[in-house]
Amino acid sequence: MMERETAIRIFKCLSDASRLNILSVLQSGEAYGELLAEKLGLSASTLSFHMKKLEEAGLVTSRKDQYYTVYALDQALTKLRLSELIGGENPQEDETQKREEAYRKKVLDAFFDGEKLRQIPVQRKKKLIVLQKIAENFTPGKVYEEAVLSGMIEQIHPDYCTIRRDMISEGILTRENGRYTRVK
Amino acid sequence: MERFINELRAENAALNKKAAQLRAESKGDEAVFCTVRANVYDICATVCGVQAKRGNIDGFAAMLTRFEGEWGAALEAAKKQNDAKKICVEETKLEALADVRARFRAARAE
Repeated sequence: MMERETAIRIFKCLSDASRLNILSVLQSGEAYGELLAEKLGLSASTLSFHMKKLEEAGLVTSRKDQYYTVYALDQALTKLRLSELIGGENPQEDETQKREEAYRKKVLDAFFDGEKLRQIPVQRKKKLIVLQKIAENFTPGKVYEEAVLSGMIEQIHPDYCTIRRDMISEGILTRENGRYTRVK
Repeated sequence: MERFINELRAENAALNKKAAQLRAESKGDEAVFCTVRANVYDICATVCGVQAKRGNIDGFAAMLTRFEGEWGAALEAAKKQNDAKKICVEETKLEALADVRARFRAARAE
């Protein structure tokens, strides 16, 4: 995965018609700086500026050939798909996920004593976390008879009726003819 | 000297027009360099006009030399800092200045 900062640097570098023209010429093979400048109608200093930007973005490599500089495309980078360039991890999303996970752990630690639920949370957000934890005891898609399901919940908390009802209203379980299935 | 100053003003106008065109073509950096070049002609036209009014046209030649020294020093500093954009800006200014000097010499010789 490409780092976001690298991707931004590449996109910034590519948002210039002259630099795209340079890359287009280099697609057919390496070229001397002087030749590139002449082909694209750029002054030596302007070409040098563009090449520096392209090199910094990692799109182009250069080597010295006596007094001249020869430029070439960095094939590995220029052959990347757009999705590979933009698909890097979003650090903000990571941070949000970490925060949510920490909150989930805090709620579970507060309401569970081992496998036993101390009390059913009143706050919906906390209750949902607790119900999802209880739901982990059921295999998704598997059909449970009411007595079996109630017995399993009762092992966790005596008020199995409330928990079972809440799991249905939250869409965690479905009920059909007195039989229950975990949906998520 | 009036014809020389008008020449510089015409060059400035043409370069500003070119800069707008470059910007429209998504060549932003080149548009900046073109504007920098245009500004050199503008500055030189203004300075030359002032010196001509004072009857001190040699003063204009001295100003060109002063600009050359200052911009040359700025170029060296940019090279030391490896600042690609600044290098290009200073080189552009010096190129335009060299052109102004050549035109000035030609105008004086007339």
